[in-house]
Amino acid sequence: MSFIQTAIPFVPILPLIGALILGFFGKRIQASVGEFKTGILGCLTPGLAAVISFASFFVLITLEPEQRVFTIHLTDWISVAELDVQWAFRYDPLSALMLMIVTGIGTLIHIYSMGYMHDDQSYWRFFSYINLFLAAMLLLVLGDNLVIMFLGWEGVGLCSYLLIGFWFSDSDNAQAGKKAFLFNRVGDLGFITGIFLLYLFSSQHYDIVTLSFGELDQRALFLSKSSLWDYPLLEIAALCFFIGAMGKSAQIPLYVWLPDAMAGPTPVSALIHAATMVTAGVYMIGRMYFLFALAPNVLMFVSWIAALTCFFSATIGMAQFDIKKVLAYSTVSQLGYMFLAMGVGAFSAGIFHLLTHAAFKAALFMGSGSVIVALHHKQDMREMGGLLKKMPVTGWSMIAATLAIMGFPLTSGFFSKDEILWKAYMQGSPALWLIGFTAAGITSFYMWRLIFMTFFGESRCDKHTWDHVKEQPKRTVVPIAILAFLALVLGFLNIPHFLGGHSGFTDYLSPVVQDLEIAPSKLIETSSLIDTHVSSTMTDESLSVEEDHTQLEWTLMILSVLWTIFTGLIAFFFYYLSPKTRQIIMSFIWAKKLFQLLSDKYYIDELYEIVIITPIKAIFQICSLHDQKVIDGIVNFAGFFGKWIAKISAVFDNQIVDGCVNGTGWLSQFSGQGFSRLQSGKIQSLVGASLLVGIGFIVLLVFYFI
Amino acid sequence: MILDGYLVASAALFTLGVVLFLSKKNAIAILMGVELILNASAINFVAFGKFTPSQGSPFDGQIFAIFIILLAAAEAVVALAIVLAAYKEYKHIMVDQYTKLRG
Repeated sequence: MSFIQTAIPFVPILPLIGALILGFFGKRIQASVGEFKTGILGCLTPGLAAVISFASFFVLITLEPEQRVFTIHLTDWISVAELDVQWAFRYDPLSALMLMIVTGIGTLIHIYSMGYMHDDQSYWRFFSYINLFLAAMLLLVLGDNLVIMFLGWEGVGLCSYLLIGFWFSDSDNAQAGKKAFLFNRVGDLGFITGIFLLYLFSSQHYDIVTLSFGELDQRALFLSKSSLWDYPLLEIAALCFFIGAMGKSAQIPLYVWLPDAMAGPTPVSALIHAATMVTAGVYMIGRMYFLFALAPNVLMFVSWIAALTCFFSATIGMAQFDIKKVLAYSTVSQLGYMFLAMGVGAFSAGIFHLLTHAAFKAALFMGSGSVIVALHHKQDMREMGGLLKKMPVTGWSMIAATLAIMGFPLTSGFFSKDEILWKAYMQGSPALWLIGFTAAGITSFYMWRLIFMTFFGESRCDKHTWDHVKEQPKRTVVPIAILAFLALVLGFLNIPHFLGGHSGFTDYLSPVVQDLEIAPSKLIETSSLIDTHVSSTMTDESLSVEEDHTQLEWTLMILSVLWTIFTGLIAFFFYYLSPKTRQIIMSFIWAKKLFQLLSDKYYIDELYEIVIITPIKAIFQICSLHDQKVIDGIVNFAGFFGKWIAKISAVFDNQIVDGCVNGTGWLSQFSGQGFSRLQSGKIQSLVGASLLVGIGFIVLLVFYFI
Repeated sequence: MILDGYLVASAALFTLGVVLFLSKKNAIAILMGVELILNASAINFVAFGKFTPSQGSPFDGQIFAIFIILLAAAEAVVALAIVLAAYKEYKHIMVDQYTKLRG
């Protein structure tokens, strides 16, 4: 047993233990040892998991690339007929990377939460939930088969729900949690349908179906020949999985829950709704790239959905005033970039953006959380401003992360985003590139708008608050600074060839994730998919083609750098240098209307309200009317009928039965009274009576015998 | 002279006795009613003894009447003694108010 095989199972188990301890005994622990030590306990298990993850990674990279895939079998789980699902973990370069992101950023955010959640009543509950989330997320990442992945997938959805509604005493927060949960359910339905489809068709041709990724990889080619209702099976299955990813990773049309999810505590937004859970969809496509590579139509669909998501959510981000909402729409937009990369077959670029985005977006969210705490839970940027002097570490960290997200040269976002845009141009279409390129400029604009509104200019908060603003304690700002530093430097992991690097990150992932060499649109045209399978060797021809494009690559890169700097400068001009110009422009009616449209999020929520919620409510109304009129009518009639019968029987009882009983009593009383007169003791009446009887006898004798 | 006249007179006398016996509250009046009934029966005996005498002993009726007179005298003695005793106890002779022996 190597170190990896022994240690990896502990990675998800440790946070689970932490969650259980804190969940069952947390209240008592907090009462006895205090808040700080409870927090330490909460951070301990993710910390240990992070140590194991990093150690395992360093063991992994010493191995030969071919030997870097481990399957760690724990125990059997579901074994019915052909189905044989096992408790098994898969540790390979992709899951190793995700483990480091999840445990590393997770640990930093745990430490940050100790400061952020300070003085919260349910301190222990928060750490219990977030530990449970880590356990579920690690299960999702490590699962060797679709069923375990789905288990983790549902687990993170549950924890997301619990944590969004963490302050559930406010009904808005509880509503936001419910919304996230319901939207995720829509996606999960797609995911589980995909699993069923794969199982159904595998079980028709094979004796054993484990649904593990290795097995699916081997069988993907064979399964691609199957079809369901005249459509290729893999296209349908891949579409189902992408619907799952839409829900979890907030793509059009299922993205509306993510901005509302900002109702949760900020560490939750940073960890779950920026760095880890929402990228699960990207990870899932990367994990099953072989399946998506055989479904070029779905890839095209993915890339267009992603580009639209990327663009529209970025535009909404321009008009938000809630600092966390801006970051939320930014997250949706950045997820769009990742899916854009996935959609054009540049899987490693998508996962690389996942990595860099996890760093800079977590830093941004934690920075915003720091600002929010400093301003006593104010989130409106119109009440901020000038905070850089008071909060230098937070401010400069956020500026560094903003440089990364805008793609400033040599920061991480620069490498990852340009890689995606380049692949979108080459393997997608210039239109996709243009959308992504525009969105990159918008990103730069709204991020600098956020920075200038928050950290520069005059303070717009009231004086009392302003006097109390101070930099947060070390355990809050140090994690932010670490992540901001990572956001600046992570890009050097994957310097592309044309910049003199050797795409180290892509090579690292190559044993498990291989990029498409050919655009998905061309895959659709070519009839025989087998020849153009992902593992196709690069021909000399394609090499020469790539060299020809070096100049184009440089051009596009310089264009996007200039464009993002330009939009950043616009933000600088409007929000720092000359707010008056902004006010003049905003006074035009068209500008007002445009701003209103954006700040009202294109009325998508209202659209959902009309298209989905209103009909459902109407159906409910009909059902309720049916209940009230028909069902209640029957019930009421039965009741009325019973009452009526009861009345009749009551009359019968009262009059006849009681009458008999009372009558008997009355009769005996009456006759008793009557007879008692005979017993008067008066000799005269006795004699009178006997005389009458005697006369009667005589009369009888006279009539009968004479 | 025929039997019917005697019998009618006897029945009338009997009826008067019965009415007197039943309607009066006064003990003396009741006793007078009883005397009338006894004498009505004595008239019957005498009348039947005269008009339908039996073969061996032709004066049975008349002798029976004498017995009735005797009996009536005895009865009157005893009853009047009781009335006198009751009068001493109650200071009146209204029989319906003699309730001490009521069960």
